[in-house]
Amino acid sequence: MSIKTRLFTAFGVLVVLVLSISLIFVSYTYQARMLLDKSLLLSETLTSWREISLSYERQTRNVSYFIILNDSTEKDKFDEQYDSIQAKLKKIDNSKEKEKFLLFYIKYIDMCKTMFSSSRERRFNYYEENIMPLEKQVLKDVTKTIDDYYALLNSYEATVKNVSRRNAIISISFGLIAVLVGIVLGIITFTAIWVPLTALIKGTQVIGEGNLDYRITVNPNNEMGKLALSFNKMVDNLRKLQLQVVQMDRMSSIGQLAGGVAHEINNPLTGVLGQAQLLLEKLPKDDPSALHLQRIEQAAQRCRKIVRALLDFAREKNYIYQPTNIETLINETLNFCETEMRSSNIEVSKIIPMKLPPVKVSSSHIQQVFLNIVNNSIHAMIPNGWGKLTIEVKTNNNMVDISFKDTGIGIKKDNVGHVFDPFFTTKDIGKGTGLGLTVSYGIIQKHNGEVIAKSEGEGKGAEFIIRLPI
Amino acid sequence: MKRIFIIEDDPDVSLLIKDVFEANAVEAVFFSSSPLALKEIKKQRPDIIIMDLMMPNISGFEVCQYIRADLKLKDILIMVITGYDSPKMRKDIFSYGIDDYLPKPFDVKVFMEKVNRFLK
Repeated sequence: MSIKTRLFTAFGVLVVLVLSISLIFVSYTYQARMLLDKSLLLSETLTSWREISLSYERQTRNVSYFIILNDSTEKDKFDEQYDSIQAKLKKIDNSKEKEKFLLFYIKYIDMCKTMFSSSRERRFNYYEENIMPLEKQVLKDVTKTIDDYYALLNSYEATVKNVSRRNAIISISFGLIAVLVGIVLGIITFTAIWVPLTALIKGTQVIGEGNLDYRITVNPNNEMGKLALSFNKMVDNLRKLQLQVVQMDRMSSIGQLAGGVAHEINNPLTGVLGQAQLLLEKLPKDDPSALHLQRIEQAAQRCRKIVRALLDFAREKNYIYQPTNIETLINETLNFCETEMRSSNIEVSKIIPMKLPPVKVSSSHIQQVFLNIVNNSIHAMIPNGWGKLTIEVKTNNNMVDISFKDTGIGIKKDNVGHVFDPFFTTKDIGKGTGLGLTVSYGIIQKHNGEVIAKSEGEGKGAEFIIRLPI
Repeated sequence: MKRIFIIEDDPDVSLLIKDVFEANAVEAVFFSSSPLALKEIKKQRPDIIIMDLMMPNISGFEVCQYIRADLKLKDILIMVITGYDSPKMRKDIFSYGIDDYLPKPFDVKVFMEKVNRFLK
């Protein structure tokens, strides 16, 4: 999983967790508050009922005192209590209890008023027969209502307590889960970043100290892996560049030396060659010394060839870069060698794409390289008496690859790395200067290209790939 | 008889030319330094000059420039022999108005052919 996905997932999970905890918390708080409001309302109603009950008891006492004492102030007190009860009742929401109470209470009040207006002698009987049973009934009802409300309030309080406890437990457990999930996600993300980061830091330190053979190994599936891969690629290129710089440095110092030496040798060589030729002209053909002189002349001619190749190698030649058709260049090269290939029984096969883009090169130099490689191929195939040279051109990523593959005698494994070295040759003495491929290498370097030599070994043919930027 | 000047600081080459001319019965005056040769050129006005290009003090190119700039001398035939052979060098050589050119080391036969062409 990529680090980006990991971070997003961790963040998402945490956000969802926090949101759900908040939601649960809000809903539970709301629920608890509702319960609390209700219980407050209940307790208010309960208080009202208590007060009603008290007032009612006082009223019954007023009635009794009135009957016994015949004191008219008791009647006033009775009215006072009636007003108080009415006021209390207004505060209470409508309910079955209230309706029932009102029904009986109004009846009770009516009866009391009837009794108040009747004569003193009849009052007691009326009270005993009509009022007292109703009085008891109402008192019983009120007491029951109070008890009911009290029980309800108690049960509400218990519920509120339970809900609060449950809320606390759920909040704590969700909080713990959030912390745990946070820790786990943190560890996962940390390891996903820290482990490869440590490897990267170590790698960059080692490579920074100059060890270009070191490669960073990191799980390649995430961004860190990709970073490590890019870094390794950069080190690969750096290594390649370092090798190229070393090679170029070597080449340029060899070139300077070669140029100087070649020039100095040219003068005495002119003497040796010229004097030998002069003497050969003077001597009669059958003179026994003539043969020796001829050998001196031949040796001098060989020296001349070597010196010329050295100068070719050392010289800064005029590079004129122009868009060039590689196919034409290959065909021209093959034309040069046609006779030699036909006489050596060598077949050529070309695999060249139809729409090959023109490549900006110095055509005379690239032709020199092609000619050199084709000539080498021919010489490698002559000992077999036949051969096949496959020339394949491929383009990819703004580069063109030109491959020359032959069925010749191949290159020994140990020698593959040395074919571009100056004076390295496996040809017979006098046949090669050992500078052809060195010069080719220099030319391709000048084009910011690459030339690669490949061979499976002796007798297995060889392949030279020239890679040029388009 | 045409007057030939040879300017060459290397004894191996000048000795060879001396021998070749002797064998072919050609006469020439030899100089091993260019300043000395330049003095004599002004005095004697040779018909042909064969010289090395890379010489200390005054190079072959400078000698050539001097000759081509002088009305009395500008028709002298000039051939250079040089150890540096390259397409660029050839271009330079002909831009200086040098008549012929031969890279070292050379074949005696080729050298004589060129000299004979001048002598005609």
